[in-house]
Amino acid sequence: MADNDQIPEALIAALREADKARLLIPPELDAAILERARANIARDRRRITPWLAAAAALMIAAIVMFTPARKAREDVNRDGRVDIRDALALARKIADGKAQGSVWDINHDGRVDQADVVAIAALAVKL
Amino acid sequence: MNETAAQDSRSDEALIAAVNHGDTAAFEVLYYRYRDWVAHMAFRFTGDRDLALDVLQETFLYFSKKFPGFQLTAKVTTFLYPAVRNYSITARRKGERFVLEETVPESAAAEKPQDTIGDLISALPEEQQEVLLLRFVDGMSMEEIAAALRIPAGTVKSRLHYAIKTLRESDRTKKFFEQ
Repeated sequence: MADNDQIPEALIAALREADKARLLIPPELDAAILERARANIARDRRRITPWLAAAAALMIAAIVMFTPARKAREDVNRDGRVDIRDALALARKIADGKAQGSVWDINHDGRVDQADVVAIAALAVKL
Repeated sequence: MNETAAQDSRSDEALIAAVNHGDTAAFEVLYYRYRDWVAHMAFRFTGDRDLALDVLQETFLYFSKKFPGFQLTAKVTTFLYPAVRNYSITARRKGERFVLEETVPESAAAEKPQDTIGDLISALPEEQQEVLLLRFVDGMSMEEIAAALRIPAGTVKSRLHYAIKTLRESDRTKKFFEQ
């Protein structure tokens, strides 16, 4: 089989002549097609918006999850967690007279006392 | 053609990038750039003006649904061709069903002023006609035809070879080879 199969120029000309007919396209049809195409393009762009919103939400969630949390006041022993040990640590500080200042006033009652220990314990149990 | 669209000198790639960003005016430029080609191909496939106009509409609506996110990997015509072809085949089937129920007036049937493409190459199977026209009338390369028809280049060459062989022997076309 030849790679350069050709047909006579006269036949090509005859084929082109027979294929010359051009369709008249009514302007109303152009307008109708373009109007529907514009609607399709606009709709497809709107359809992509929820995906963008979902992607943004995921990104925000990831930032929140992976950003180190501020140190909690309740984390009395500074081990990165709030648990029953923090309640015990605060109880010890109070007993040793080392719980001065408002930083340990967990329940915001203006005093650092057993109520704050209980507040931390309650938080630890709830967590 | 729309004047503004005709004067737009941006490349197809630039227009497609603009449509991907929501620029519907860029789609309009593409429409007027390829509208006549699509209509012509559709008419070639269907042989019927109304069906061809239906195909024109379907093809551009299909094209518009590709946005955003459309990536042009070949010529626009190579991308559009399979759509025109498939919509034409569907339209023709519908048309055939319609013709069966319709009475063709004798005067209309008798009106045949000149050879149509179909008359000239009627001896060929449709798939060979298609390859022959794409090659010699539309001037597409073997690779472009293969991409447009989504068939291997070897199949294109084979169809072309057998088409020419048949045309050499056909009563209607053998005179061209004898000149």
